Amino acid sequence: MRRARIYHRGREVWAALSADEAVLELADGSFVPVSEAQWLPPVVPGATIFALGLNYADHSAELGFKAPAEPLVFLKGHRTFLGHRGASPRPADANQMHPECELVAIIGKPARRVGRAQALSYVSGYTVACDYAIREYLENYYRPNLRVKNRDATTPLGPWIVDAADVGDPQSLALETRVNGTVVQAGNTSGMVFDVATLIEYLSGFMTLSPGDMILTGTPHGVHFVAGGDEVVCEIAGVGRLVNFVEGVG
Amino acid sequence: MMIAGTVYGVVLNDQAQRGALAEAFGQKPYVAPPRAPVLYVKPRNCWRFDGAAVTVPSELVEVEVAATVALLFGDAPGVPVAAALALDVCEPHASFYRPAIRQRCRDGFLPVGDFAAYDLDALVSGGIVTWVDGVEAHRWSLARLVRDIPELIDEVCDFMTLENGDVLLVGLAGDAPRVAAGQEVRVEHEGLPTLVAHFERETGV
Repeated sequence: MRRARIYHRGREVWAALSADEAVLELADGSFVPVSEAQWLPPVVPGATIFALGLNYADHSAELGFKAPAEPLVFLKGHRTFLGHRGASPRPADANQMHPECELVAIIGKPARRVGRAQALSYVSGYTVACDYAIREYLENYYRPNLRVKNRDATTPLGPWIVDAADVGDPQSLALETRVNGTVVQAGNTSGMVFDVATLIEYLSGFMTLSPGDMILTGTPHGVHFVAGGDEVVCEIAGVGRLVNFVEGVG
Repeated sequence: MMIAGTVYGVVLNDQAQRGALAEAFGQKPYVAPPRAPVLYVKPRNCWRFDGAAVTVPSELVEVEVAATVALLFGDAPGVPVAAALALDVCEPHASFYRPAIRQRCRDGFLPVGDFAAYDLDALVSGGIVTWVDGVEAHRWSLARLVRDIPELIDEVCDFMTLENGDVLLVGLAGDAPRVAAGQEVRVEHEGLPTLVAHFERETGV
């Protein structure tokens, strides 16, 4: 099952994607053609949003860092999210704004002190995020700081959530970012320093995770700076293909 | 009035603390003083209301308790509609280099008092007093902030909008006290409802 959050006739609703990806079925049995869907980020209100920095060794090396000994976790609010086919603002002075394709794991049941061996049974589904960063705004305080990672509408998410059972092993998924059709990131979730199960063990070791919480698991090698007007596609095999447009502002 | 969005806080917004750290800010890993407000998130597992107890994790001898003011934002972007006292709890830590998630985001690490309408001048001039087991342990006021409330909101909303139930904790005193399990903390400010938090030892681990 793949579930999307859409804006439909004046309200936000969840809808199920048909197997042929042609229509979205609403709870009342009616259908919306995918081509007409107004996509919203598939996130539950109030959910805690974790994100990982330097969680692929090849990306750490490219940025001049050693892979961390402990997960480098930061948090996001909800206003940074944006639905499929949305527009992310690029400030005029953001010459170093780059997309980061990331697998997102969604927690399905309360998790506290969960061991690694059981951890994946706490995941209800997966989606795709494009976790934009603007390197000009990086500072060495709570880095990566919120001015870099929590700007309004700069974390496209979706298009939908795929049930965990339909994804299988989350550590063998190809992920790719294309800008105007050119591949700028190509990796595999097998390259994570801390895999999904380890991240759940780590986080639930000191805090309680709740249904709907999300973990953006980091991005592989490939830093490509975008410009206003670019089309950015983040795709993870078996999960989804997330489209975003960069909009120059200011 | 309820929290319906994200709770953000800001560190290094205390003039006294900034003065004490000025030399360190020029050295690695910081290299330069902070430019933008240094923000963090207190996720929902931290929130405690109505005097609910705070559990001190078994591996911590004591926790830091920083009394502050939480501003609740309404429908209009960047416009707070109410304020409450809050107690930002953390595991004491010296470094501001990486996000302090493990230190700041434990379950129950943000007791919040009742939200109420407020007068900005009275909010800033009034003393925020922390009592531990009935003894005054700390006193400060928002007059110590590096960025005052309007300036802080303005700079934060420049890149992330605060609205619709979001909350902003406006700053933490660098000299906040520490408490251990078994102690009771009371936070008072003459213009806001008093906040009480009991700290309990973690059991059953």
